[in-house]
Amino acid sequence: MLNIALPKGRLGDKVYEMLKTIGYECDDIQSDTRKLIFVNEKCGVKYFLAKPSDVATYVEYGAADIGVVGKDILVESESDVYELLDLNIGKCRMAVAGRNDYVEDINRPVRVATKFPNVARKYYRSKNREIDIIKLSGSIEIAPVLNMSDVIVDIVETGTTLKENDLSVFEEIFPISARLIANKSSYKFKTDEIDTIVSKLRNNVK
Amino acid sequence: MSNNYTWQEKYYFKIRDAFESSGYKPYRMRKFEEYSLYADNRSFLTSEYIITFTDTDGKLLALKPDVTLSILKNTKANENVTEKLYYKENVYRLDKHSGEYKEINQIGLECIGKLDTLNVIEIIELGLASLAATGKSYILDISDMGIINSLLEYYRVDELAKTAIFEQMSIKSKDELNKVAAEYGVNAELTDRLIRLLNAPSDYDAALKVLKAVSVTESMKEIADKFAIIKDVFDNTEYKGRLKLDFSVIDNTGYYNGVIMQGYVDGASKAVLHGGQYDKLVEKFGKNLSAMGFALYVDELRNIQEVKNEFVDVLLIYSGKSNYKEVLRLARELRENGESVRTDRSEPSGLLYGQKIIL
Repeated sequence: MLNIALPKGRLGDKVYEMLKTIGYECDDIQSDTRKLIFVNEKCGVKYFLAKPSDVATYVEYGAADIGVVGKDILVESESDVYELLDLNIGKCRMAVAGRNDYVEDINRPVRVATKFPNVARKYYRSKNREIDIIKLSGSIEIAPVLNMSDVIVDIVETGTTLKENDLSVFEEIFPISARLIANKSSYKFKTDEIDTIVSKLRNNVK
Repeated sequence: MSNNYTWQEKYYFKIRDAFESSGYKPYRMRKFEEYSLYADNRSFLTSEYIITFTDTDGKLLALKPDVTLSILKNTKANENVTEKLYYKENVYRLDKHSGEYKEINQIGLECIGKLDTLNVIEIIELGLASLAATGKSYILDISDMGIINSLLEYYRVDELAKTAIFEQMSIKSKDELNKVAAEYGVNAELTDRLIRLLNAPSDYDAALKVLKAVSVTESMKEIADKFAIIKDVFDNTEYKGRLKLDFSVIDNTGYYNGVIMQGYVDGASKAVLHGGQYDKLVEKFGKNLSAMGFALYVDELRNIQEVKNEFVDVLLIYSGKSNYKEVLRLARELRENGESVRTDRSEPSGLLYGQKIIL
């Protein structure tokens, strides 16, 4: 039995459709239920839905053998997992953005508001630039608008929210897409099952 | 052996016997060590966070985050003397998930001297024996740092690209490896060889064939020959099928140079055994020797162990009116007959016993 962690929401729905197409269906998962775990004995899969930012943790701790998670979360959490496949969906980018009229003061650290402190720290360290991190959990765009921060490090999908708030992207840090990850130990003991699913999915990745 | 030994104790006794019967001697050290040892070798440690404190003479000390460095600092090994040591120590490291320091129970061994393939095979065998002693299904993955290093040298890959390639190899990410190759302008033939190494089947023989096929340097061919010898040694043993070649096994490239290994036990979510050959670290200590060892992270096994209630052969219940001398005499007599005895005024909850005597 392969335990699969899917992220709740649009990305999880898309991934489930991909898995269903290659023969790992478990239709209960799409029903309106309070059940947490969905099993299809015949296909040998057990699905559960988790908060997207927790999927990597479930996989790293072995509660799930495999899971699907955005590259943003993988980089931020530094989870010790195998990253077996780029699913090429859920695409966006990690970027530095700020007010359109922002001019950097090189005599003081940059104030960076972000949900991704590790990503921000690593990025600015690579540029040898000192920063002050302001950790937020959501609505990051407000921080530079209210002058709480100079810039934000955040996910940018279409850029509409930025545009509507007179913000723009200054630098792109890395592209993001959904990845199929595997617990390292599970992979050792369920190599064939996991390789089969990865290989079938790879043929369906656009 | 008493029924009341913890699984950790029973496990330790088993592997201690295996280590000692292979000529390894116990190594003991204090809980703390001079901080400078870790400051000088910071990049060898898994975390840069170390608990430090000042001794009464002003010297900066640290609660040890590692045992290998202390063993190397004190080793008496030389060209003619190979030192073989095992240890059971607690190390203190920062847990990246909780952000707090943790005391980690580590058992391991180190072999320092002029090592040859036989020494390496003995260490691999002890690694396999240590995993087998858990009583669970297990896998020991091995590789050699020389494989990827040699390939990257052969194709003259620069340091930045090397780091990126090692990173993607270690997480088995073929897609990211292709992106890195494109970004750094890596030779297509090299990328193909790396992908073939990542695609190598989990079967030892099949993986060895892949290694032979992608080998371009003499040193890669020598590694393949060494792995063929290792295969022959374990082919007709209980370890056949347990030892695998996995070319994604990579550790600190600044210190490890030869065979590298990681062990997994079914049910434990992380590798429980980490080890390898670290001649580059020995060199930093000014010695022209080789060293290889491994550490077992026993705490990773605790979640897969069945927790049993405490058991005594005889539960001796006495009351305030009992003759204490008589209670003690009876308990002593039973113990002399090999029984374990607990004296109590009432039956403790959760205690399992063979016989209850009420006085």
